[in-house]
Amino acid sequence: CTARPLYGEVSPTAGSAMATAQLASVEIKPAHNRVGQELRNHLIFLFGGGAGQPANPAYSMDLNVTAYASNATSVSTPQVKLEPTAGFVAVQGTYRLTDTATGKLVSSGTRSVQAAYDIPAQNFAAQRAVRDAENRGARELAELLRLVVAQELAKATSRGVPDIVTSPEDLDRRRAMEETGVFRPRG
Amino acid sequence: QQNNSRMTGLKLEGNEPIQIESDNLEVRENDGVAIFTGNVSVVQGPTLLRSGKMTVYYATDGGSATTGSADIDRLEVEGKVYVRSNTQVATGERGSFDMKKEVLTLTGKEVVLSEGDNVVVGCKLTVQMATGLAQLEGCGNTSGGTRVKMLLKPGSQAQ
Amino acid sequence: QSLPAGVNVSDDAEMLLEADTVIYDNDRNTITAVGGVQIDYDGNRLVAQRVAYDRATSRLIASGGVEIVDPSGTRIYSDQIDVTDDFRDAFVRSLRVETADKTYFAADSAERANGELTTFNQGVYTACEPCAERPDKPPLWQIKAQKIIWNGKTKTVRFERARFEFFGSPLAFLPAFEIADPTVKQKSGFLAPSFRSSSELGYGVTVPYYWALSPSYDITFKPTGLTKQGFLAEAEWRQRFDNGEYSLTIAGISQQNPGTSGWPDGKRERGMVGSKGKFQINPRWSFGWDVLVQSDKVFAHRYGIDGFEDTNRTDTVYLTGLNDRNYFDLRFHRFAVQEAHPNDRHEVQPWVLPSFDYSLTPQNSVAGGELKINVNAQGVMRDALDYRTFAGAGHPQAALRGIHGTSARLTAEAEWKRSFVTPGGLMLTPLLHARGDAIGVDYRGGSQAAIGSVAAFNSYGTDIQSSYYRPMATAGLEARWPILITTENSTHVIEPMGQLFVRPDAAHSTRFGIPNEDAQSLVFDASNLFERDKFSGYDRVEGGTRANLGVRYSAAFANGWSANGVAGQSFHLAGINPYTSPDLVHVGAQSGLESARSDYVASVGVISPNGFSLSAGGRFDEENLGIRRADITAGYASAPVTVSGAYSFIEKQPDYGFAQDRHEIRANASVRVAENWRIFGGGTYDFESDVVVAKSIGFAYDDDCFAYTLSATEYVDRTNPSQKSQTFGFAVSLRTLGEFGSTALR
Repeated sequence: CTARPLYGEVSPTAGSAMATAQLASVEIKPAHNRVGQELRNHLIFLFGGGAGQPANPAYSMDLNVTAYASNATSVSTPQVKLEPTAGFVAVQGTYRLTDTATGKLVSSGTRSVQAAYDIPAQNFAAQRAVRDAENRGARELAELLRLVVAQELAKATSRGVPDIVTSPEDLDRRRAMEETGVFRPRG
Repeated sequence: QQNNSRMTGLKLEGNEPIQIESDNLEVRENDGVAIFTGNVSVVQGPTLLRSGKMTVYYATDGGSATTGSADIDRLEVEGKVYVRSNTQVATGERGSFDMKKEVLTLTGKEVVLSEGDNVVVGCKLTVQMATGLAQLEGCGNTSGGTRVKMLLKPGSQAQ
Repeated sequence: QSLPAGVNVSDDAEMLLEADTVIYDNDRNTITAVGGVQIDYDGNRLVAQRVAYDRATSRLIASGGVEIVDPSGTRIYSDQIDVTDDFRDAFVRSLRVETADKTYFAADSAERANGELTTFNQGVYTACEPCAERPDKPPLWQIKAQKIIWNGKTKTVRFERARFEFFGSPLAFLPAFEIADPTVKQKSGFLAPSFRSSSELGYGVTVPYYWALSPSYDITFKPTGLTKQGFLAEAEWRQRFDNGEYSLTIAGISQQNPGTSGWPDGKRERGMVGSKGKFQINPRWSFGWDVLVQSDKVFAHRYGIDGFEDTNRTDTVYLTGLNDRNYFDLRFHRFAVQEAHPNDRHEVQPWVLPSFDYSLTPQNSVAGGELKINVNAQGVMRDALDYRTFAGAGHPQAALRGIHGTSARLTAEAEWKRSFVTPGGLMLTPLLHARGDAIGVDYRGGSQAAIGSVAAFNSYGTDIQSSYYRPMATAGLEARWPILITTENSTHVIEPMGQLFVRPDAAHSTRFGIPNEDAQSLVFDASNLFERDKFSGYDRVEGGTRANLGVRYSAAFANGWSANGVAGQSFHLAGINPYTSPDLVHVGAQSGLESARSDYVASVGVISPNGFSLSAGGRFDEENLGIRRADITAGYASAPVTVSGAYSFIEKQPDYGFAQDRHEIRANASVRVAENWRIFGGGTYDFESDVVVAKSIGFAYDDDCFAYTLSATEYVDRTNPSQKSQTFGFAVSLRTLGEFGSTALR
């Protein structure tokens, strides 16, 4: 196996490394929700180092970001059977990296990051705690996806996007959606 | 138009006066046959028949073709046959009128029977001239199997 | 024009007839077509062995395997049909009808008059597809009626002297009832009734009526009869536009016995008005609202008003803009808790007028780097004190979670950063950041005294002013040195990463004074390690010089597996450690950041191509590596089986209000055991009190025409396990007939 600095050429004379040039030529498609925009803003900086989006990109990256809050621990109170006191937000990012010249799929996959938070009794503070956990999850997922894209550009390994369930609440949400379209064609 | 009288069908009466015209005529007395060729047109009462060629077969029991007094056994027509009697028109490639059984048959690749804007297309038209019953059959048995097609306006008769 | 449904016909339409033979009978003025007869007339198609068309009476008599298909796709099969040549009137013998929506009629005979009213005699109706192999097997459910009247104009299907059969055996006799024409989507009419029961309301039945006034707006009336409280009137108006929709809900009751125990002030007349709206002005901007006004603080929850029954209610009006890298969000809130107790949590929830977030990232770079500007403004108003005393860590403790009065804050911050990569692959990111907070507070009621007592408990001074200014400036440097390891069928990156932030101490951080409204939660975990400011809100700011060190790992395998992880530690190098400085909610207490050398934090993530995934995060004591906090979730998603579990352990944080460890495990599963059968269930076990605090089990059947779900949930109070409460839910739905069942199910 070979090991080398991701951003560096083995010989110092190579100047700015091949990987940074490749990452800087990745354009990221606009986001559809707040958490997706947070992730995209971080990634644009991590790819371009401050230069912003590339003028004529060699690669194009589609991102689909979802963030679901789940309960971690709870107490029983007279009002609510299970009042949550702590939770975590699972920020999941599914990416599709395509070569802009040929339109061919270079790599696609999914990664997920968890950010834990406490749920105060003051409901406004609880709402801001979830928002902050989403932001932390998006920033850490951006750091991770930067490495993943660099790895896949160096040597592509995955094409498929596995379907994963990130928490019991995520499972409940999927089951409720499945139940709305309840009637199943027979056979 | 309220057409309440019974529709007269395609009818050729054996004993009604018939007027036949054609470019030329050949008579074979002993065979009891007269062959009209070239723009043949036959008129009898409301019915008109036109065709490229017509062969008339006379009953063999006396009377001669030339004097027109002999009974007609049957007529054979071919070549763009056109039969019209006031509201009904039928076209085909070959036809035969059997005067005794009073049956007209028209055949061809596309036999068309139309009445006002109702049109029927088929391969074999058989008309019982006595009752005015017309039966049109598709060419099911030949290859291609085209069937009888009929286009009509519902209620056009009833109003 | 179709036989059952009333579709009128353009009068110049022509009828095309095709057959093996056509017999034209002038005398009797009839046309008889024999052999594979097919008639097409203005979208209707009739197929039969033999058709006799009597021109005088203009009636068609088709016989021998007759099938009629009308423009709406409804198919009629019969042995013999007598229909007028404009298909408006018909008499059919022993027929079967199949509509485009897969609903089925059958009858000994049927008549249809002027194209609209179809009457089936000795009819059968079902929405279940006949079993292909054994067509005579009775469908799952069917309705046999002496007369079924399908009215094309009013779009209804009426059953008279009907018998509802289930699995072929009669279940209910119904003198007469009506359902909506299955081929029509938005149809006014009665919806399926639903049932409920509770100790305060007694048993209740709701029979909703849906009135579709127009394709874009409708009203739903939901009258409910309650054995203990009488008649509850509820109505919902909905209107849709091409860029959004809104709804208005009104409900009210004059209660028979208002004095039920535990209810606020025993009012007799109670009611609510609520509205929700959501509009997309253009691709970037959207606004909406969700507001509720009610006669008392628990009506909508107690009477289960659709959409307004949640215990934690947030009235909201918002305007949001999202465009490329910029974000704008302006919202107004009123937080409420629908509970019956006099002065519990409801009174201390605030009004937030407004909560404003704006972030701008200019497209072109500034001095080669990225500039990002954030503005946040917040005005919080409350007219009750949220002050609690409890046993803290080693000494009695008190927390002021919400002041009585008004506090407003405006924060503006700008951050500039740029990355350089040295030839050796080291990525350096210098960073400059400046921020300013302007805070104004109007302390009322016992707020100032409460701050004094919190300070006294913690032997700190107080710093109570009507306005505070809190600047902050940061000079930072980030360093990343990722190493790529490539093997034959996998790639790995190991990235050591360090951050250094040099900052002054935050102003006003040595005494109790400034309220904390939006930063009351602080969890130090792997996602928080590399944050420049670890607080969860702008009411607190991280000062002092701090270094964050850690390593990040990402692996991708050719077989589709992937793994990633982060581990590290944070060091408070100089100045006041912000996580030990005074906070009215003690947000830094026992957080792992209160020591100069923080606890260790780590996280691991594994994703497999076949649906298995694992995510774990933890915090470990910096001295003895003891687990302080752990959150582990694992899940497996596949077509038949979906399972997900979550384990959490949070060591006690006495000063933060948790005198005991919080230690729970939860699991949920949904298994499709057969083509139409599903079993689902879940449970929550509390390690501390050794009680299964919640468990639920349920199963569901669904096929093309019938579905039912049955579920039961049991809650156990962990503080006294003998106190259990169960809820049962069931729902039966017959496609096109409706859904019956308790509303509690979903």
